[in-house]
Amino acid sequence: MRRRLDTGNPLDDKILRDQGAYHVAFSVHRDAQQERWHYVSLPFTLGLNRPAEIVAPKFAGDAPDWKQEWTEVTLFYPGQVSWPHLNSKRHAGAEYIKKGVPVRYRHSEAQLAHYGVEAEFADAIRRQWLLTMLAGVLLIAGFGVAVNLLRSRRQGV
Amino acid sequence: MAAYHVVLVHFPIALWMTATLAIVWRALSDGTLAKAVDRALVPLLTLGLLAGIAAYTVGLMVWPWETISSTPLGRNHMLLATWTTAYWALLLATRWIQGEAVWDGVMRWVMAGLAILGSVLLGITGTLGGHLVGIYTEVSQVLRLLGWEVYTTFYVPTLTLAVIGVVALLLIGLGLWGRSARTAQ
Repeated sequence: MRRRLDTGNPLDDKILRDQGAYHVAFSVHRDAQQERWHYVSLPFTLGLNRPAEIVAPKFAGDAPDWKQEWTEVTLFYPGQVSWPHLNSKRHAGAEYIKKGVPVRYRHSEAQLAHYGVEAEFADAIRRQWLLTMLAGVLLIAGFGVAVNLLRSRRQGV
Repeated sequence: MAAYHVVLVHFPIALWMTATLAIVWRALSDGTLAKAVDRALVPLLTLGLLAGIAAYTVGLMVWPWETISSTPLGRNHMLLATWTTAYWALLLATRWIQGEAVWDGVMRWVMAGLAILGSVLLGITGTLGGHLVGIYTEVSQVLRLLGWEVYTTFYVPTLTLAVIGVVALLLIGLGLWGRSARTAQ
């Protein structure tokens, strides 16, 4: 995949400049579709011939020699997590988004991959979690009742 | 309220960990010092429970319910905090009701096992709380090795819930049956 620094279509393609620093993220869409069933990356900084997480060194000729440092990018399935959801009360990090704190500050790709899947079954999982919590308390209480009623002796304090 | 919660959780952690040591020591020893430590156990567990309830209550104020119940880590932290508090309340009630009889026979090993399990629950609760505020430990790796990814909500299937409910009711029934049988003697 290759593109010109300036494609001549500034409304569609950001104009890049030598020595420029940019934020980039990657996505791979299944079946060339544009919406669901895709994988995304967290944002990275891209430096054109300058320090950044991903550095694109300048080269002469038609293609680089592909001996430069390369960067691994982890993609994950993001689920159906919307921007309004992320900025709502349901997201503990909403205040950080408003402050402009980068997502990587609190989240990893592995973490978000799990969150994305859970978000698709949010109501069912929350109900089951609540019932599990109550069942655990009931079991602890049942155990306490059994132990203390079966052995109701008291010798001193 | 997050800062207050962080301050408050230190108290139940310290008191319950101390109580664990006291219980294990008493389970292992009938010495004078172990018995003296045991006499402080009910006040220690009472203070631990009060501090635990205070930390739990303030913890509920850190985020709205809508928030804490919407995030897997928040749910897991709350689940473990609830179980830990209930669990240590059970230990307090048992020691209080049974008195020194908890150290008779096999019951002393039950107490030691319960205390160690309570400390494990406490440790997991603290680990998950650390994750919530961005402070990670390797304990979560141990949990992963045991089959639980901490970034996924912990819950059990409906059938398991039913089994837990039946077991709890059986335990209560067993206790009531034991008491009535003893009363009849």
